Amino acid sequence: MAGTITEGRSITAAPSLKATVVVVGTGAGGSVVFRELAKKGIDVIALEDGGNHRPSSFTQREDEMLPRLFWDGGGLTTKDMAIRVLQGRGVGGSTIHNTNLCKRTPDAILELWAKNHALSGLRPAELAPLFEQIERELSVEQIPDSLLNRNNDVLRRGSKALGWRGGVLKHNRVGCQQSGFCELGCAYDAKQNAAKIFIPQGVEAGGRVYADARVKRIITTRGQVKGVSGEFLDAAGNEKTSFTIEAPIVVLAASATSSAALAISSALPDPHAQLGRGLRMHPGAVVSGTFDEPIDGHHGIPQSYECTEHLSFEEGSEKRIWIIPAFAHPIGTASTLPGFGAAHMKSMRSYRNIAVLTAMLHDESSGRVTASDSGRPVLDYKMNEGDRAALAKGLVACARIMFAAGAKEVTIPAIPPVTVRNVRELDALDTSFVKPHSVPLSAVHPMGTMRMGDDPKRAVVTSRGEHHQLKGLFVADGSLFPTSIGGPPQISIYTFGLHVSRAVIEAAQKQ
Amino acid sequence: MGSAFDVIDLRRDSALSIEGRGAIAKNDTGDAVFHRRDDDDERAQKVGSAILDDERRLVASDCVAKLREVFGTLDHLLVDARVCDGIERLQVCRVREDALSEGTAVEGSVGPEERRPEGANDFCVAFRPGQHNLSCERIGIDDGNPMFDEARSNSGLSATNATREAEHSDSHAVDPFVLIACSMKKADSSEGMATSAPRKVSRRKLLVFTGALTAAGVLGVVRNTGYVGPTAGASVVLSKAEWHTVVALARRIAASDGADAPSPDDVSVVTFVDAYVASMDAPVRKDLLQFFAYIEQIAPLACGLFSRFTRLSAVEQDRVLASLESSSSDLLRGGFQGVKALIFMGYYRDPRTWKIIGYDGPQVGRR
Repeated sequence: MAGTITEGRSITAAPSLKATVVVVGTGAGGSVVFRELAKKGIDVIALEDGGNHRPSSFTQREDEMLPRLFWDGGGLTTKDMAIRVLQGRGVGGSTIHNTNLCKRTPDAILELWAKNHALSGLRPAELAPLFEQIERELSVEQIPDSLLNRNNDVLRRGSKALGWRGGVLKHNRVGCQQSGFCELGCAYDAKQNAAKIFIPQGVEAGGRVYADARVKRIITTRGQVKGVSGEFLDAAGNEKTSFTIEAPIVVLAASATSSAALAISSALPDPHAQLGRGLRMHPGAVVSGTFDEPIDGHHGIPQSYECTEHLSFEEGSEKRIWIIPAFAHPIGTASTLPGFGAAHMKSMRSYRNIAVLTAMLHDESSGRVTASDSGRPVLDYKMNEGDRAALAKGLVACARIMFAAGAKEVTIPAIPPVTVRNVRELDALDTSFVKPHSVPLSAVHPMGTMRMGDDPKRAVVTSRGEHHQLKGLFVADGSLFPTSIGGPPQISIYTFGLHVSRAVIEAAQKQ
Repeated sequence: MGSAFDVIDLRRDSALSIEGRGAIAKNDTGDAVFHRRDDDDERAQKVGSAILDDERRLVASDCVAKLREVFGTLDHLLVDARVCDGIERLQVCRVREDALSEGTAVEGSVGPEERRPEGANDFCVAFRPGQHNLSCERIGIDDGNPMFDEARSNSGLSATNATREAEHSDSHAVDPFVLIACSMKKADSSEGMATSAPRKVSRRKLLVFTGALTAAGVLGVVRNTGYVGPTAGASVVLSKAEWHTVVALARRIAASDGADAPSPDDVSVVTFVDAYVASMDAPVRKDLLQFFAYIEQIAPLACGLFSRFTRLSAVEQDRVLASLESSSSDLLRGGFQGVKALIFMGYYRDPRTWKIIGYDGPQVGRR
């Protein structure tokens, strides 16, 4: 019998719920676990803090979609407000708003994890069948060259002119209209994401989903999970009706920020002080180039080409910058461009002629997630000197690409803004200004706060995702990653969700 | 010296679990002290199996349900260990079994930093003599004890004085299960500063501090009167002062460079900001409103300007904003970026502004 998706906003009385497994979070990791369990006939409930969005309700307006699809309307920041952190809310999680980039966890990273972080069963050859399954189910394909928009073409032309390594990316879209509004949710339902693929399959197999359901505590007794408790939210996001779900197994898949915060709020055992530590987030900064001809970066597929010349996954490498296009709609662009007032508006008038690239850092800096008194994640993250230097090199590299592609002026939106008009000026640039708060930073890939590994002194969960100390608790999101992965994480998270689901199924079948 | 009851820690690190049992009273210095009670096992069981599990930990749903019976709207406090706006900040006593002894002040019971309620004062500091006044009050589960009738009639959350508190403790001799909530008020901050180790100032604390300065009108050179409008009912959440501050901010941050651009007033930036702020989570909203107050009252002073922001000339306002944007304070720079993003969201959401930058807007429905 098919399951259901129930919106918490429509619930008026707290239901009495029981399940064998509760999955907290319905993004990439949670959706796969949910689907796998439901297909095995296991009684599973998935809970999602955000709403159950329908593509037909996506208006392509920033002012309307940002509050609906992102935590804090896209205004979530690190504790020191230096880095803006964009994280999705809603059934499907961040797969609703991401730009559909599909890359596997690099082999070098997997080998590094096996060598340095006591991971077992997760070498490239062992994970390959899982990656293949996920890519097949999400219809991952190479983006045709003909679909590169002009902003991506700037990156391609510039990289090629410099002889730098790069290539066209893969994506998971079917029926893409190239509207360019991916980050505001796909109104055409072309994204082959968690909300479209895995959640419906899980529901069809009998799984139950509750949207608008904020989990506030994991209930435990004598080292064993007993369930979760929380609040159903109204349409405005206010807590309105308490719920408790009895379940001997709970899977945390609410992101590296929210999963860790929930675990901390629930006072889960943490004898080796590992919980919440190891936060990585791929912080990035942008560079804009002004061209004589219109770029119209807001049209077409936002991100389809990458430059990997400055990215190496070898241990200790100083090359830790991934360069991709990063065009935004007017509100995002206005927020990023430096300054304010009439001078700012003058810059905005160049909107159609601007190309924007981002230097995203494969970070080594290690931050920490804690929890506020209400259970909200608090992100404490500061870039170390090595990362700062790497980012500075990355911004200069972006500028070099711009000039190689024909930009007449390149601006790094620092405070004060740094504008260079040719490569000679760029070569002479002192990049010591590159530091948090002087350069607007953003991050969309938090990871690493409940790390996996078979050494309980250095990891929160095992290589199979099971908590080292608490029976019945599993983790299946980006929290698992022991280090940064240096690229878009969705395929990795889906795949590790699939990996963890096997251990969850084993545990559930023993119940 | 006091009577016995169970103590529940509402803090998150061991929330809703019984940490120990003891009696509360005041020692000579006015500090709260706890006293061990040994014959409590049977009493604890009286709470009922529906509430205590095998480890004497509380099952959350049962606890909340039970407490709701007694205190109705206060369950958020028990779930979150936080207090809604307008009620004095509460902290809950945590007592370690090994810290309970006759006359021993409760100290060192604070967990790691990440486990403390955000914005709460250090609990151990709060108990140091002379640094804070501490008043405690119980919030409890009613097992028929008439004491709770009084607690309910007092709304359960108002601070009680030490004498009354001690009396309450005494009269709770048979209470099987009591939550202790303590409201802390700083009494002598200078002494507290002198004896406390230097602590990093958090964003919230800085904003709270500046907000407090603002509210008090500390410097006397700022005025809080003379704001006109918005008309009654026009604002959702912004006060008159905040409304005018946002209007002034929008006029400068989204100032036009040509006659073809609509003004921020034309596209009602302030109305958008008002509604947007109203939809924010309470802690974020509080921070933002305090930052508006900072901009209005304090930021001009840092630029040597002795009028509030809304009364400065456009040139002076730009000077203040530029100083925020390039401030040496991470928090002020970050705060400015947040305000800037909000103003531009209010401005560039309007299709009239899209024309001037050549943006063709949403494509939904065109195809």
